[in-house]
Amino acid sequence: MNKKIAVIIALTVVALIVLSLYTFSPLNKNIQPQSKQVSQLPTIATESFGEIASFHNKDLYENYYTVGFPGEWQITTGKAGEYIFTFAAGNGSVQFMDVPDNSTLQLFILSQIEPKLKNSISGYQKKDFQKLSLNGLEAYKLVYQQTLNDQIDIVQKIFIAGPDQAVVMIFNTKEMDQAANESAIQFVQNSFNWEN
Amino acid sequence: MKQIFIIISLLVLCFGLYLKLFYDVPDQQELINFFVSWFLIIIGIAALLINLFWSTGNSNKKDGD
Repeated sequence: MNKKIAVIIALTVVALIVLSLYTFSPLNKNIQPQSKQVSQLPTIATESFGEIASFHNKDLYENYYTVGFPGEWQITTGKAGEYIFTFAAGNGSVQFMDVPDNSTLQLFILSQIEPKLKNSISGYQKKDFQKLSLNGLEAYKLVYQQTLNDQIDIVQKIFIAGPDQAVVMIFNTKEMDQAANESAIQFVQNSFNWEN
Repeated sequence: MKQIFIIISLLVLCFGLYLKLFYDVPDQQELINFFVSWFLIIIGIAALLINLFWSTGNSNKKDGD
């Protein structure tokens, strides 16, 4: 075998070994997915809701965010970047949503999400759709009612634009309890912020 | 045979560069994309260099014969 070819093969093998070591080294945090690094800050007291549970979510690289919930809400983690919560009169979740690069958040909601809801949910009736500004972030609020087993639920979906992914907060409450939970829902909305 | 080898090497190199520069990497797939793209780039460049010196090796052999 030609010596030069042998040298090239040797250098290639060395380069591949270095690449493997670098890629899968725990020191290489730039490209490692930051999954399962949900950390909960110590709860802090506020005047409005007693204790607040604040979360720094670092499940998706470039999509770190902070969100807080009233202390009495029960919070569990779901798939990457997702929190599922239940409270006295309802339940909901905070989760990532992928918006295609060739669309805007508003267009995506109106052209994709809402038609799907209309076709899939029994008794769907849109109550409100408005643009919000949450901590300076572009956001949209979609409120609709759905009827399940003759029971009317009010669903609020808050879509928040982000640097890469968007986030959608879903609050599902019974119609009669909506007003009582409104301030808590407002609090959760306003507690959200991107960390990037 | 040599031309086929060059074409395959260029395809591997170009695919590695495509993955590195243009491919829209799905979320949480950055690690595997980083590894595979650099792997293909290194293999592609190495294959091209081997091909470059391959003829020299053959001619040496012929000279030796």
